[in-house]
Amino acid sequence: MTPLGKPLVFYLKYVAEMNRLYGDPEYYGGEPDLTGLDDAGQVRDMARIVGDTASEQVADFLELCGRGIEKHFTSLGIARLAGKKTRAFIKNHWAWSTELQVPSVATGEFWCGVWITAPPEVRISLANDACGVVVPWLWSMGGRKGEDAIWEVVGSWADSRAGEGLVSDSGTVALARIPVTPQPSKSFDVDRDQLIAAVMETVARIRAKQMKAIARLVAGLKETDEN
Amino acid sequence: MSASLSRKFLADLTQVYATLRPQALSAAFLSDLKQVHATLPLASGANLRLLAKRFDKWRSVTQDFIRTRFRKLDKDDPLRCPVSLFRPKGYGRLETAHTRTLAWLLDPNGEHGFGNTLLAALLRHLSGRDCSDKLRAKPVQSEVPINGSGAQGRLDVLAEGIWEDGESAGWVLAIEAKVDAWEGEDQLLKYEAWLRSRAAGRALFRVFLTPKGRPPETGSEGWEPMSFLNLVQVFRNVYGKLRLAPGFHFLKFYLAGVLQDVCRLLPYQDVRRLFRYAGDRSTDPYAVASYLKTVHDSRSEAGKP
Repeated sequence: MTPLGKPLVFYLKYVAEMNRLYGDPEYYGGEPDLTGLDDAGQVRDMARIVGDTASEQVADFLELCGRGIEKHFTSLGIARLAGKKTRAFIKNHWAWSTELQVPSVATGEFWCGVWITAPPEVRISLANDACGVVVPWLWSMGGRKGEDAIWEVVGSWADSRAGEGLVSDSGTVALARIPVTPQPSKSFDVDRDQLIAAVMETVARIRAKQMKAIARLVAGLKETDEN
Repeated sequence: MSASLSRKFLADLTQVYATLRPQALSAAFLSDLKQVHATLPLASGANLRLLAKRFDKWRSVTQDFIRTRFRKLDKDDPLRCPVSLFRPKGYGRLETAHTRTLAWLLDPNGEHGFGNTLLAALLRHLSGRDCSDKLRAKPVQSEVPINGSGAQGRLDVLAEGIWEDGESAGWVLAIEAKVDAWEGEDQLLKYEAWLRSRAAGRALFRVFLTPKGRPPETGSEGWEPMSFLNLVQVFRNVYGKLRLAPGFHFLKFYLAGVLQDVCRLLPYQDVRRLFRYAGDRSTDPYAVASYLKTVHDSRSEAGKP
């Protein structure tokens, strides 16, 4: 077992508090009101250390997921990958993504990514003892129509569409919600390898046939728009 | 242009390049790194447990605050309202639905009957000057095409007008909102020149409106980041004055929708859950508390002689 990292699991358990103490104050609506927080100065210092470490651990985890996803799509022999995200981007956004192009289908590009989050950042109920979720997703331009195109291919097994709680950006389909569950439940211990395996199991369901089908549907949308 | 390079040349180039790359890290560097690393504070298990304890107490104090303040909320406060204006249509986070509505609400000539109350509240927030009875505005526009000055696009909301104090040249208010999307490449930067030329010496207020008030990735520092929660708070400050206006209930459902769908503060039942279950993590209690403080402060302000 490789640990996901206690600081990261802690962050997910206390997203609202950590965002206020560690997040950019500008981003979270100004300086936080610390009424009720004992030893506020010391706690802030600790939150900074935990936040910094958690961001590194997120980047480690998502880069590994990304490598696996890139390998999968490359191995299909029909895809070209573009738009690689930097580690700095991953640390800032807690998300990794890549653009997938199928050279035989011009303008049929779409994106695949993974992000890690927790309520209240997303409006979902977590499974018992879980403290966050890992979400592999697909996205296409074209808003709701792009989403329809992806859903037509993966809708029989994918988790949900934009606006259904897990993902909100129009054009996105959440492929799965993989719970981040500490073992034992009160601890901050989570097996990173298991999470990566679950992400890969989900993404591996997209084979060459599905990829081409999505690319064709996405390209079709653009042709319709142009006409 | 293409060049035909011999294999030998490329092999030599590789060899030379290899000599230019930094060699293995020096022992001195590694030893210093080890020393400095040893002095860094660690996110140890004990520290995490201590932090968890502090956070639990902070949350509990904040939830007590919410409980007390929630009881004092007006019955028609948007936070109590379970109905979101746009959600039934699936437009809860649709950017254009929000920006067009915002333009209409800010327009002093809108059928809502608010006059310039909301526009003046927003300008007061941005400029720091109390201007409601000295404000004259042109019709507020949404989705304004921007062409020229090297820019192309659509600005979400544009308002223009004057202060009737005879002292200043007037003002221009531009709002660019993003709900889920990111800015287009250099989007705000491209709007800059167009806006400056449009303002032509008048005071220019630029608002970058997002769910959490994140700063823009591009554009000058003149763009003021503002969260939707902050916008609701600005409107909430003058909400009480609008109760008799024809558009009051529309405004209530709109603000309730912003709180629920954009700020993810609610739904309403989540706030009630805070009363029952201290371990609930589905709602951000600090955002709810921040809103409740505004309501309280606006009442105190209104009560001042």
